[in-house]
Amino acid sequence: MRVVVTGSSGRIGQQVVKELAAHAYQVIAADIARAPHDLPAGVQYIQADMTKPADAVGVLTFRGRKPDAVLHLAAIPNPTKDPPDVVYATNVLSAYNIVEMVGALGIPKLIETSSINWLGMDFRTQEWWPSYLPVDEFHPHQAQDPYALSKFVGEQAVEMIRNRCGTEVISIRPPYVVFTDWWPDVVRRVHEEPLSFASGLWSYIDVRDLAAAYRKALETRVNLHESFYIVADDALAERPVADLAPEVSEALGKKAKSLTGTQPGVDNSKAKRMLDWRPSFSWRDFT
Amino acid sequence: MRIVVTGGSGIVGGFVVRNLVAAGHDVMNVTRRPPRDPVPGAGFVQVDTTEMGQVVGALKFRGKIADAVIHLAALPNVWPVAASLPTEVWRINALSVYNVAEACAQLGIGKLVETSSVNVHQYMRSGGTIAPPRWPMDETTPNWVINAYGLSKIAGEATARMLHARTGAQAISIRPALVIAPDEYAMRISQMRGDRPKTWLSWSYSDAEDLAEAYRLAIEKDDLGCEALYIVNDDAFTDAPIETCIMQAYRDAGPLDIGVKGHAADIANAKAKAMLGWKPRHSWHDYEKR
Repeated sequence: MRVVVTGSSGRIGQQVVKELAAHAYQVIAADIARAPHDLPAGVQYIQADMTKPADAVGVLTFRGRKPDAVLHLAAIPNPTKDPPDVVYATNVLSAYNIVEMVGALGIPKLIETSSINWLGMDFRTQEWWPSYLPVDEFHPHQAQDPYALSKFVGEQAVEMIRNRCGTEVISIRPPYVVFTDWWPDVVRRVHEEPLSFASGLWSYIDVRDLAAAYRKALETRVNLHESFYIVADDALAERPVADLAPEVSEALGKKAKSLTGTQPGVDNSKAKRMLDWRPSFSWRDFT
Repeated sequence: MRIVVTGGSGIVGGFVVRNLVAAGHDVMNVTRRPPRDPVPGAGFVQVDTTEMGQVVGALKFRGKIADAVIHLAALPNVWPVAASLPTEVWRINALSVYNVAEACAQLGIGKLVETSSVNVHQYMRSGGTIAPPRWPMDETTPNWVINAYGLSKIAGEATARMLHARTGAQAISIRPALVIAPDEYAMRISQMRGDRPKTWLSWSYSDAEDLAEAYRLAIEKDDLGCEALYIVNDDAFTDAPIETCIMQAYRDAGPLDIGVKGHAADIANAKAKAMLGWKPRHSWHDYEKR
């Protein structure tokens, strides 16, 4: 199966490329960065800026062949390092260009990278907490920042192309993604700064498990547009979230009473049920 | 009030600017081309609303930050501008409303009215195979879009919600249906009745003068919060009974829940009437040749 991965040079993208190449996918990696030196064998690369419509065309018609699926990861991954209009424009232009060309070329499947920030809590300025826990894919969003808004728009864009062309579309919502070299510092924070993970509701995912979820999404047939929170089974916390939450806010504490044991504030059961996916790494493996 | 109107040189924009100036507001038209018929008393500054810096600069006029913004600047879904690349429609429409909302947040502007559309409900473009859950359609009907224009309106409404959530600013999204100016009725009526009758996304329509009035009410009233409002007439723009139109258009969509009949429009305007105290004053029948 021939797949295009946009945003392939990002930290998540690199793991996704590795995962797919290891499972016999023919991968065309695309990113705005120059070709890296350490591509897995057999992976092709094209340097392209997905905010330009012509580049999106070039990527999706690379060497004259359409891919069977597109995994779109290219984006600015948070609103902390770029002006707000740049964050929003980069993300929604690249998402739209990809969606439009997927439709125009009749590419049958698109996996879009959304985020736990589809929900909109990490970068909000007016505090709010979910109306129930654990949050699942039905919980409404409240974007206050350009990154969260761009993720909401991205999911609407893939629904549009499904409505127009019948494209099979999936949105992946990663939480706080932990890369292998980050684990020592993350474990330290679990012990020393347990409340610092509150805005993500103490959810997290090892990048290797996340990459596996992208592959499972490729391998699972869906009918409607389906979004999935891809989070680990346990909370990024030593103590139960129900005990930590009241220390953050009374409102959150009330909602967190429904969480038991090591349950995080985000529910992964839809991904487990529909994608047949299981997280295999826990923060406890790295203590 | 000191009101910036983006897109004040367009068809709807012209009516809005005229309505606001007549009501005594201090209006600045902010857009990329000057108006063909400038409204005396309204200012103009040439701006590309896809450029954040230009938008921030334009929301201050004569040295002070505007009190309110009405955002109309976009590529509309009308000929000849409708013949634009989808990527351009998307870029201009999505980025313009974002820049305006972000500028409002940064400058502390407390009121925004932005322009959405019946195009958040493009069910008619499903070939009549997918129907809304019920008629009349209203602001609770689920969105369903197939193109850049409809998507840009969904994005615009979400952008208005972002502004309100972040700063508490009053953020209203106005949804016109087919907009008809006084001098366009004859042409639209003959399109509707022609040998190959034209169909639009719905049988609702928005009189341009009544629409401009709704914009003024939405910017003048306080405590409206964050809402989308359909601004459409009471009657349908069709000769046949509305239930017949719906059943014919959606005959391949399975069971239909039709709660409108006769001359009633297929989109409800009750929310706008209740929230704004707005009422349509012109009907297409007023413009029919006797």
